[in-house]
Amino acid sequence: MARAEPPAAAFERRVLRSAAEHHYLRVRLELPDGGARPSVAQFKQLVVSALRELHGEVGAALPVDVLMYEEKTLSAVLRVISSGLVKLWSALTLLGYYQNRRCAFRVLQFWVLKCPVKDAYFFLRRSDFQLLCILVKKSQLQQKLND
Amino acid sequence: MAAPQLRRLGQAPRHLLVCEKGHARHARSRHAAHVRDHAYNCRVSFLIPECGILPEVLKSTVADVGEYYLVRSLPVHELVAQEFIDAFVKKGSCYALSYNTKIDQDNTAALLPNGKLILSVDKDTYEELGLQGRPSQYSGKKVMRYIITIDLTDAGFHPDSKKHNRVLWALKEKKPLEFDFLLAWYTNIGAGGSTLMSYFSKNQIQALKPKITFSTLRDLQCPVLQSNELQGKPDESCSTEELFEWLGAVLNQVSLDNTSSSFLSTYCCPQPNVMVEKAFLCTITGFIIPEKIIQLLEQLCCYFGEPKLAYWLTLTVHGFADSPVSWRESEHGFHKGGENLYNFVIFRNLDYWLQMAGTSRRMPDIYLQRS
Repeated sequence: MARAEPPAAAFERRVLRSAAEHHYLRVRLELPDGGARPSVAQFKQLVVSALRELHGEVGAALPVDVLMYEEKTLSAVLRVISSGLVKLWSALTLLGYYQNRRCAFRVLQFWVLKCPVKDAYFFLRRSDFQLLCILVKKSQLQQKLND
Repeated sequence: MAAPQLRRLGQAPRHLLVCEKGHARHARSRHAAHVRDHAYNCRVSFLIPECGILPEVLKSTVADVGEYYLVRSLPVHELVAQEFIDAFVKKGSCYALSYNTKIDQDNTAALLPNGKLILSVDKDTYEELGLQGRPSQYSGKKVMRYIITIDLTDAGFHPDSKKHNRVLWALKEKKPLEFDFLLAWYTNIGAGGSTLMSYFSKNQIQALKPKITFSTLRDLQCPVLQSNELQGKPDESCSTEELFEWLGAVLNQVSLDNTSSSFLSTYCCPQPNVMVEKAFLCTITGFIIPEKIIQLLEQLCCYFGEPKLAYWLTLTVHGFADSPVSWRESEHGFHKGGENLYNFVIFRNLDYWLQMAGTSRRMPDIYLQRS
């Protein structure tokens, strides 16, 4: 690291509006108790299959990185390119089964850069997508009633 | 109809990253002002590469971050009472923030050090209260949330004034609001903790200490930075965005050495980088007031007073996701993540980079226009 010290920096400002290449999601997988917990590779496979189910082969090709995965709590940090955020989020929300067991993804947090927070549950929100799911379920119920 | 829907699939929520560079010892440098403008901070962490043991001065600064207080079910009208204003608001910097309230669902309250009490309330509460406010920026076409700002240090806000009586009546009788509050008080004379304790002795008050953790990271890949190159140069130095992402990965203990063909993750440290044998990471969580962060920042600048191996160090500050304000008095909303944070990179020659992140409505215009 030995190098000549450059002169003191002049003031400069850069404003980056929605320029981030990637977005990050902290998610938790909810499974009924007692079953086998997926390993990190199985977890990634589940995310890819969720994408394939909703968005087809093109969706499955979306580059998603599992930056961190904790098997104990089934929580993970995912990285996705910005243009694929909505696709990933919707695919995760609409996924209902893991190895023929009911499951659900909860998006705990979404951020551009964020620290690990111990009580991540504190940040649990009703996201737009969960609202969407409720609406879908409601309309399905309505249909059943009508039938 | 399908086309616009499909296009929206590719859109990401908007966000903003403001990057600045300057010199910490420049007479007109505003780095301390930026810290002061961000009142509510829940987490401060600093990372020093090539550092195994923290110098004593820094250690004592970290230990001196100070206590904060949690008052259970405190009626808001007690913050408007003249005794409280005279004893605390006018005599120093008083910080208060409602605790465990969610900015997009609940009523929230915050008292800024400049004496402004900010209430962010839903439509029903607003109508019951009968105080003047303005619609929230985040409520969309149908206004469901209102912001009420009361200036406690205003000359017209004395105990006999109509305004004072109206506010007191609204908060005491019309619609009594109660929150758990996080409190901190800072004066030049000395720590004001005991006074706060005795003032609120009737209420349930608890003194809390910030949680401090130290850790040493071994064999860390650090990006190469050049203080006068915010945008970075290919093969010479990394840009601010790359550093920002790397820092997030380090703070989350994400592995940095993946290959591009890896199934799980393709994230790797930005190029060019150097392997650092050890790096020191310190994290403080609690209700941390800006005055203490300025002291810490100053001590971190002094770290380079003696020759050191490190070329730069970083200081990251996270704001509360649910505070009703972020920078100055600009309104803060949760949206999808509620992040409001800033990060300093201090270089060996005391140049600094400052990165401020949030969604674009959250930062006062002054930060965006001045260039």
